[in-house]
Amino acid sequence: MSEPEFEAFLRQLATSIGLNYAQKQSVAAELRDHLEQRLEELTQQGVPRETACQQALAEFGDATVLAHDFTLPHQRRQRRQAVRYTLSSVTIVVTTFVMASFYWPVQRPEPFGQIGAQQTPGLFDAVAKASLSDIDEADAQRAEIEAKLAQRSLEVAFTDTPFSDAVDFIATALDLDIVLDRPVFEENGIDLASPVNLKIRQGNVSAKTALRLMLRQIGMQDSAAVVIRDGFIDLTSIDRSQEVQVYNCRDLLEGVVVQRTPHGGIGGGVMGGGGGGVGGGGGMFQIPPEGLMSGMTGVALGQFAGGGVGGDLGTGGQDHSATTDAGAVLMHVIQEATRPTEWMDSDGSGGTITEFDGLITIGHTQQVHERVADLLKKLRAAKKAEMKN
Amino acid sequence: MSNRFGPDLLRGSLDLMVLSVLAGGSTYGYDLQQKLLAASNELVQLQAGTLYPLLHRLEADKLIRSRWEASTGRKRKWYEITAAGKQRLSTQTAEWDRYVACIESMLAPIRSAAPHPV
Repeated sequence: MSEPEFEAFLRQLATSIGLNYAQKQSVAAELRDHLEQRLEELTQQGVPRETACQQALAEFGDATVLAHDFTLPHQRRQRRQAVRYTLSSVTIVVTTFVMASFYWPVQRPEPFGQIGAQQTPGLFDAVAKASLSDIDEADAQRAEIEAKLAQRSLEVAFTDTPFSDAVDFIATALDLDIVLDRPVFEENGIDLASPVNLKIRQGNVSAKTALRLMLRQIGMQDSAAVVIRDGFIDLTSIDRSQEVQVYNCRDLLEGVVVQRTPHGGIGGGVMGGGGGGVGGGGGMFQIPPEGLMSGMTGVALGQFAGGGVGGDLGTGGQDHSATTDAGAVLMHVIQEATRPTEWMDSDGSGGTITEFDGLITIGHTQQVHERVADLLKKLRAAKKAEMKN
Repeated sequence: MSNRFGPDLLRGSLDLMVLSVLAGGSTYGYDLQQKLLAASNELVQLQAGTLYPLLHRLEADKLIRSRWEASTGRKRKWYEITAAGKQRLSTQTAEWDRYVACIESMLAPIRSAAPHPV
C-alpha cells in the first residue's frame, strides 16, 4: 500500500497534468513505483520513514511543474498532428479545385456544336481517376475509424468517472483521437466532469454505442453527436455535425438508363451491352419528366430494383446525361428513404444534395450521413442480388 | 557536491546519457537513475523530476519505447532503445566528439598560458 503522502502528491499531479485518463493512470503507477522503491532504499539506510517520504517526494520537485513537464511533449505531438491534419485538408481542397478547373471546361456545352473538336477524353479519364483516388483515400480513413467505433472489444467499468476521463479512456483503448467540443457542452450547461457510470463486458456493446450511452447519462443525447472528422472523432453538437461527404455511386448507376417517354414518364433498364435479353420491364427507376424539370418535386418512384436486365436499352458506351438522370432519381431515393423533411427547409437550412458524374455530394448531419450510408449499402445488396437473377 | 557538473552543462547532454545507458539494455526508471549514477562515478545524479519527463519525451519522439512488465516481481514500466534511438545516439556521439575536440582546442592556449608553480 502506497504512503498517503505519495497518493496526495500523485492526485495533485493528476489534477494538473494535461493527459488523458489512461495516460494519467500510467504516469501515476510509474511514479508510485519509483517513490516506493526510493522509500525502501532510504529506510534501509536508516532514514526515518517520515523523512524518507519527504526526501523521495522532494526529488520529484513541485507537482505542478512536473505536470507541465509531462504535458509538454504530448502537447507538441498534438500540435504536430493538428498541423498535419490541416495541411492534408488544405491539400485535398486545393487538389479538388485544380482538378475541377481542368475538368469543368471540357464538360460544359460549347456553342455552335464545337464540343467534339475540343474535347480531350484522355484528360477527362485522368482527372476522374485522380479525383476518385482522393475520395477513396478519405473513404478508407473514414472506414478505418468506423471499424474501430464498431468494435465490440471494449471493456469498461466506470463508477462515477468524470465524463472527459471516460472519453479519454475510450480514445486510448481505440487508439483514436476524440475531441470534445467544449463550448457545446458549456452552452448546454453540462460539466465535462459529470459522473458517468457504465459497465460493459467485452463483446456486448460497440464503442460508438458506449459513447452515446455516456452522452445520454450526462443529458446530451439530443444535443451532441459522435462525428467522424478528418482522422479523428468529434463530440460536437448535432447542428455542428453537419458535414459534406461525397458518395461514389457510380457502381449503383452503372448501366442504369433513365429514358423520357412521351406519356409514361421515364423508364429505365440495366444496360446489357449487347443485343437480346429481356427488354425494359420497369427498369431500375421510373420517373415522370416533369419531376426532373422541377427539381425533383412530385417524383414518383417506380419499382426500384424490379427492372428487367435488358439488352435492348444498352449501348455499352458512357452516357453522362443518362448517368445524371439516374443520379437525380437516386438522389430522390436517398431523400425519401432518410428523413425527407430535413431536406426541404425553405430557408435553405436543411441538408443539401447534388450529383456530379455519379458522385453524390451530401451536406447534412452525421445521423443523416449514417442513414445514407446504410441505404446505399442496402441498394448495393439489392442490385447485386438482381444481377445474379 | 562541488565536483558534480552544473545543470547548464548537463542540460544539453542528458538525452545522450540516457540513450547510452539504454543502449546497454532495457531497464526501468529507478534502475536507470542508479546506472547513470554508477556510470558517471556518482557525478551525475539525475533527479526523478527530471528523469521521467525526459523519458516520456524520448518516447514521444520514438527514440525509446516502453512496456509494462512484472519480471522483477512487481509491475514496472520498462524502457528500451529503438532503432531511431540508436541512430540518434550514434549521430549525437559523433557530434559530442567534435564538440569536445573543439573545446579542447579552444582551451589549449589557456592551459599553456597558466602560471607554472614556482
